[in-house]
Amino acid sequence: MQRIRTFAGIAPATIMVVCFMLLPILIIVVYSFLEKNPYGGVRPELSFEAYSRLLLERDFDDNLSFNPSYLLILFRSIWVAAVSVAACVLIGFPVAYYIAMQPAERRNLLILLITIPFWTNLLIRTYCWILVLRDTGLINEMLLSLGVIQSPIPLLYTEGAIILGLIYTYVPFMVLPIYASLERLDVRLIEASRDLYASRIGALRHVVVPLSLPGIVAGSILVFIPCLGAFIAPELLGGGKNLMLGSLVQLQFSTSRDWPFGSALSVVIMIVVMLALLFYARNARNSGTELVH
Amino acid sequence: MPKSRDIRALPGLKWFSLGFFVYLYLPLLILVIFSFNATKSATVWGGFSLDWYAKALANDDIRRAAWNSLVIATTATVFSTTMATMAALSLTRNKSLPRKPLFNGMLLLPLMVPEIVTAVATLTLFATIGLSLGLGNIIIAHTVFCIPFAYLPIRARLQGMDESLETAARDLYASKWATLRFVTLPLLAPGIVSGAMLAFIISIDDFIITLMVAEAGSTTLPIYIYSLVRIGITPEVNAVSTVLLIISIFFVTLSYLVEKRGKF
Amino acid sequence: MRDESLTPAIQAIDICKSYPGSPPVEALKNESLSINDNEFFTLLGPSGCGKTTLLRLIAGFEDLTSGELRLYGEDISSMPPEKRPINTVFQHYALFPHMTVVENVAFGLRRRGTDVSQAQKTALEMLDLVQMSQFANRRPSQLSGGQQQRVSLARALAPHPKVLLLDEPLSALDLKLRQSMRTELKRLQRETGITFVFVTHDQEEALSMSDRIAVMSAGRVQQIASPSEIYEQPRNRFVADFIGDANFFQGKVTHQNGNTARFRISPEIEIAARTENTPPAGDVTLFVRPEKLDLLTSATSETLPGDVREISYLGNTTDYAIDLRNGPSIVVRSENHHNGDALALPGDAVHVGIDPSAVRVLEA
Repeated sequence: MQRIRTFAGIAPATIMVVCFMLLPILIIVVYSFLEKNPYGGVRPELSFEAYSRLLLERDFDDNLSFNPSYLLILFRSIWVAAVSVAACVLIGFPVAYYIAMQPAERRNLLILLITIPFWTNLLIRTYCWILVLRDTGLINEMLLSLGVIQSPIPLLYTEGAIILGLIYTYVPFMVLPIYASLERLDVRLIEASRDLYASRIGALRHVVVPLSLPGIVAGSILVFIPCLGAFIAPELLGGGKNLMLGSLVQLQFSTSRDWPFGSALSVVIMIVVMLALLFYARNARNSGTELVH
Repeated sequence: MPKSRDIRALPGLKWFSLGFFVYLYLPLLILVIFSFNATKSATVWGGFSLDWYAKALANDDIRRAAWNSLVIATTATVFSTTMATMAALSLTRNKSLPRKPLFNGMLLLPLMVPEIVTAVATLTLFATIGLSLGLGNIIIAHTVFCIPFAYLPIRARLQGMDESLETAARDLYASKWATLRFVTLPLLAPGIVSGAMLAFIISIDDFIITLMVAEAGSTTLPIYIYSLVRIGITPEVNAVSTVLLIISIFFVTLSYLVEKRGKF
Repeated sequence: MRDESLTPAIQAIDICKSYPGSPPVEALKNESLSINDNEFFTLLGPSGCGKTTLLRLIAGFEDLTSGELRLYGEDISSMPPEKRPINTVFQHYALFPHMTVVENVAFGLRRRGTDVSQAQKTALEMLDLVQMSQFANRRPSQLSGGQQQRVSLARALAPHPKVLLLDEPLSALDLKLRQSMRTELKRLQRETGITFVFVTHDQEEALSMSDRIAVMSAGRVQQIASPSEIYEQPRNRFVADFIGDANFFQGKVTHQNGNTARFRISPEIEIAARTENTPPAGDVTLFVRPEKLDLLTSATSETLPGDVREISYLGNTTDYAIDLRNGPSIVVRSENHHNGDALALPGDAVHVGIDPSAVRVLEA
């Protein structure tokens, strides 16, 4: 009876997450090691086919040969996510720094302005960029009317467009944690560094950036995870031309009906995410151990 | 104008930040402006009109999708917020609960898994056990995904709450239940409201999970918008999107104001 | 029928409190004490000494690890806080921010089943008692710290508890307000006749208000006595050091004559002390308050020569740090008269007069 009362509050939410989050993920892991059923679903026979397909291709004569195309998609996805993260740091840090400098009242308002797009529909935010980037979009129309270009330059359906969309979507995830660490930063530390002959840039490099590193790392993880599995931006802005992991996974569960392969891809995504989280956990533990900059 | 004396100031920062906010809002602004466009173009201005809103409103598919979205979001919000409140209360106030970090991590799990993986995993589960409840499937998936979003503001509020208030209530002859009813819940209310609003937005905006889990006939507004965008760009999409946009902005701002007013 | 005035209000018998951990933290080690009816009793000690733990145990916010707690003879050890007729004034007031002042004060009465109008009436009377009735319909956030303090007092007194616990209630107030609240608390205690248990780390507060003080350190009660006894006759070095300022010497008895004994505190210096019973043969600790010493310019038979090392001007008094010739250094506190000129300057040769009745021998 006492036990029931102890767990009564936590049980509903936990059961919900375990049954409809943890269990499905375990099923996916299991399915990735099973054989596919051509009509969708799986056959209960152990197989490593799904994983081998990541690297190898089976031709008509049943010979295996190296096929880098899926590996390329994996690397392209990681690359696109990494570039987006880097761009988000470069854009997010100055903005977070600026907001942290403002008086309290304005600071809260600016943070609200950062969070509003973050809470609005991802699909709509990405769709906006189609309006901006396409051949008859805002940028091309403007350049044409100014006479800078004679015919529209293809902006939409490029890797650049995907990255632009990802940055636009996830940069709030970067600004918020960096802002959180900068807001806690004691101004007297900057004063002390200036007092000890550091220049503006020197104070930034040796004091502000190192102390906001936990925020930068947290932001990077928060941006990296959704970018890696992004689906909407590659589909709408990349036009599905440059296939990325998210779309590839979705394909396996819809048109291709290859559940084991889709599961294996999901497992790969989760492994990369877990590595990123581990990196973060290590970094969070070690931060502040460097003595000399 | 007096020169900035702030020791943290850096040249150019202000303009950079200003540019950033323009970048953040300009695309949304374009979307909204062209939803009022009189011509069919979604990018060339042809005069003001509300035609596209009227058209969207008259569209049965859109109305059905909007109704589905509303039903799903409301139900998922009620479920997830109730569960999140109970969980947050027992994680912060129940001293005999063991393994708190584990439970806490479990509640935040949906935030750590990429959405696409959640989507296909949930689909796989439903297909495997043969669960087919129509909107029910989507509601279950959304409830799980909304739990951390409702949980975080509620937990934050509870952690910021002076526990001596509850101790004082006990000291003044209030039983555990009376303390919960007269002190803890009234003080927690802004956190619960804020959590519920965030859960609602997350649910009504969700696309990928719904796309994978939804059965025929369970189309939601984002799914409908996606199908329209794939066909072609019309101001009708802008109109529907603007409505969704306004709903989100309304709830976020409200949630912000509730939390601000409820400051201790 | 039991006469409550003879039974102790609170009686703690061998109570222990330890918190789990490795090793477990012992906040209170096997303590026994009783607090009398209608007494202003103070728990005094540095932070972490166990005074707040003791208070929370009495209130019922924490469970005893072992031992027994009695309230007017009744065992309350396993009674939840809402069942104990004991109320607390919290350090940061803990006023419910979502209720008005009068709702706060009526809260305890309502939970005990008093009907709305009666609770309202009593609450207003209580607010009157602390001179806060004009703020009855305000919210706590609209009040100053001192006003919140008064409301918090009224709230805890409203259900007329048998014992009122006060957890450092004055620590968040500024100096002037703190001093006026001391008189106020003393008055409330007299008028209500409720036993007050007051926790503080401020010795001045403890000395000025209490009937009795328990000095605590490291989870143990070091001494329980009246304020003057605590100051004049501290039982051990901790108490002597924690309350007021003190000079300590280590010494050995050289000879005894009636109730005066002589102690050697350095190869060439001996001092006399009044002792009630025979002092132990080994090393003992002697102590003397700086203000009980005399600073003289000429020697007599009972003075010790020394050189002034440093002087610190403290307003109404001045402290002289003096190196005794071939001996330890000692601080002499002297009142400043007339124009406040120092009696001696650093480097001056002086003589220190020590009255044997001012020197006390401490328990080891």
